[in-house]
Amino acid sequence: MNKLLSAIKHQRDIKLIKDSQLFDERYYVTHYPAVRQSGLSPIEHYLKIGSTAGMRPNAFFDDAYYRAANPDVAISGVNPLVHFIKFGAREGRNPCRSFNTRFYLEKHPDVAATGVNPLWHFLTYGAAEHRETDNIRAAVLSAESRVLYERLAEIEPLLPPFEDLRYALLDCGEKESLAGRAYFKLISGVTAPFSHLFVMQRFTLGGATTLAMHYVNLVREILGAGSVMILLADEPDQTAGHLLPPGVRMMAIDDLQPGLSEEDKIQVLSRFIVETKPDVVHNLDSNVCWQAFQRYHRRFKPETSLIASLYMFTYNAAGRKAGYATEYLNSCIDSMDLVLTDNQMFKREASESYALENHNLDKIAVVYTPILSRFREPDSQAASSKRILWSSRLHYDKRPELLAEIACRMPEFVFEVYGGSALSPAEQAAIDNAKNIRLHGPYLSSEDLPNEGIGAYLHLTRHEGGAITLKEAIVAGVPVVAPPLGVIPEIVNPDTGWLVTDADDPDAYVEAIHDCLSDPGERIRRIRNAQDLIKREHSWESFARAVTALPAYRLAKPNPQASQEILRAARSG
Amino acid sequence: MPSTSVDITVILACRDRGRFLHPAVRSVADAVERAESELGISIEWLTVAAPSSEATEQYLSNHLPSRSRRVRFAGTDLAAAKNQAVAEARGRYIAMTGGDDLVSSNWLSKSYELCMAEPRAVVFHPHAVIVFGDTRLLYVTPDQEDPDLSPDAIFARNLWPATSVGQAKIYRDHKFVDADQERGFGYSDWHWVCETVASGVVHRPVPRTLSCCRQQDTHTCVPVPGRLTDLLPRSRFFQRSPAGARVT
Repeated sequence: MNKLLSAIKHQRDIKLIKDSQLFDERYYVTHYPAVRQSGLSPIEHYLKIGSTAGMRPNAFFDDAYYRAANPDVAISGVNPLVHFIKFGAREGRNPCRSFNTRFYLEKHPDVAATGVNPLWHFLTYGAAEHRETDNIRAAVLSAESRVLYERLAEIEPLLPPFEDLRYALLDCGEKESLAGRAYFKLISGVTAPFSHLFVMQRFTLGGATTLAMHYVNLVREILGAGSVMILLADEPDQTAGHLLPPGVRMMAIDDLQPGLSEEDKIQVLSRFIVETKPDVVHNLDSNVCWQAFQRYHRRFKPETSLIASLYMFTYNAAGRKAGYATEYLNSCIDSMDLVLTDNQMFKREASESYALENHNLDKIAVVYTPILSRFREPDSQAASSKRILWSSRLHYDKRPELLAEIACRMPEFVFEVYGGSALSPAEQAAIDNAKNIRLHGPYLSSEDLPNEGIGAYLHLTRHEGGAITLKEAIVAGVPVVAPPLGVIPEIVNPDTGWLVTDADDPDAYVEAIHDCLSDPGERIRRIRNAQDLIKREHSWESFARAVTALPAYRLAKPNPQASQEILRAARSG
Repeated sequence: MPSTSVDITVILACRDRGRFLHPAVRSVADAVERAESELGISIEWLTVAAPSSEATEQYLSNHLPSRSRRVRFAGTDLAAAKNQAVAEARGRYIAMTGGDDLVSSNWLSKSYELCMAEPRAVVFHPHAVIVFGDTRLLYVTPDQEDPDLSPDAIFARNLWPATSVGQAKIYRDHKFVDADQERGFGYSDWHWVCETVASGVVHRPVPRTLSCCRQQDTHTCVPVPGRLTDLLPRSRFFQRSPAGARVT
């Protein structure tokens, strides 16, 4: 019976609090992120656990203060917010130190006239209207203050009249900082020094994470896993968590403290760099990090090398240059130590676009992304195959409309498409309408892709960086048909594959595929040449050699034994 | 070793303001006179300027009261100038204020009384700061002992104005660092607050005292929240969890 009564009272309290609109759910889960893991709704958590633990239902209701200031409430055991809603507000009791209920109603008679709960009014309207919540202005502008002030006004006639101070903006200072809280959680989590800080946007499957892990593995190989720290500065997504090398620390700012603005994150990251002074900060696609570099580079140097990876100039739907390279390269390169890219075309385009001086051009280093997959023998029978491989994230940038057109022109072929879809409904419909496009969905590793019975690999893109999927196709023993973008002309030529000169012409791709399959001997010759090139210039060893030769990356020579271990681990993983 | 026969040393640390230093000088003179007459204490008044142009030199030569001693400083760094004045101070307590500020006449006496009653390392600030000029703002100095005030709030902005009074040892143990770079936004004072808080010093207001601060395009005595154009230099405050910070 008691349990039943208690449950009914609990439900009544929940309804009362909900109806009062004095429970700020966003405030509650932002300030107490562990609530999400409790299995309770925020309001239930507050009633069952939070209130007695000193957790506040909104920024201006302090349960501990309310109990201490009102012993009758503390003795009764009633929830302080419930008491305030039912009785306390009408009795002039204060919800916290800095909100004086009687003062608020006296100072703002329009609120008193409506009869609404004064705290509800303040949270809903008053705060935005800069309404004062206590008599602090009156306390600091007393009669005694007036005498003192008038004397100062004799000395400095430009001081405003004392009466005007009644209307001057009142600033009592923020009493907490979510950014500060995030920062202190972050610094508390660092128990040992690290040399290389990798700042990433997020940790999801894709080229950016793959590339980042190559650099992480190299530092780990040479300096040890403890030398590396990864910070996810923009988004907390860690769906590629399985790619994190053993022993490497990774933290997400959003996990440390929910509810931060981008500006907060810039401050947290910048302070973290200033205080920890890593040898290197390597920015991999983090806008927060670019902002920090742009604004505060003077504070980071010379102790820390500022490094960023940029792969290409991207273009928006209007055909104008966009993306990090456009937004930050020109404005930041003077203060950067190194810009890592994976294709000569990007370096040439940057030079031409911004008339970079030699010393800045020298900061752009081309380091080819290594391919760690096992080299496989080409399938000599596949020239007669009618299956074409296509692998990448299905996205506007990967030209789904061109894929559909090519498929339409080659009805006797099947296009095996691997990769998760990020298409708009219209783009998806075009793909779905093509009967000879077979969608296989996302894949975890290039090892999951077929190579036997595949006639050719078709690479389509609007702009390109390191063309990792194309290089993996070559390693898998499949001939490639691709447009001359990004690193592709550095790999694909008439000796190593089929380069389509007009990247927009579907007929050119169709012709190249037919040409590729028309001469089985030539097809095998070009695959082998391409594989030789990848072994020579796109191997782990060539990557390690190139990076360690860059003084700004602050690495010694690679350890060949550790290198083999990492290769084995990467291949098996 | 400085003598401790002086109760309090007032340090007026001025930027290069020429004759516009006059209000600050006059308000300090009022406060010194009142504290001496009300409390009968011994006060030393030091004035230091950095950088100092001919206009500032001329003003200080002609108008600085004779009871204020000039601290000779050739550099341009106001933080270093303050440190030099602190090194030359003979008082058991130091009262620091600036050439853009006016202090109420009771500032020194009220602050001194609180200092005398406080055995702990506490720095006292005027309770209300009236910002005038381009902006009109009434800033109320918080009390670090307010249970609602989280130390993490100092991450986002400086909570206390540069005008302060405390034990001389606090100022000797915590040097001012030139943190203003090209533009002054009170970062040096903010950094000083961080350093003192990190070593356990408490910042509190002095009830019923005022200071007024002229806001200029390149300087504010009360940093307003918003986008920060620069970062503080390293501080011990940021290298560990501040006492009481909610970091769990």
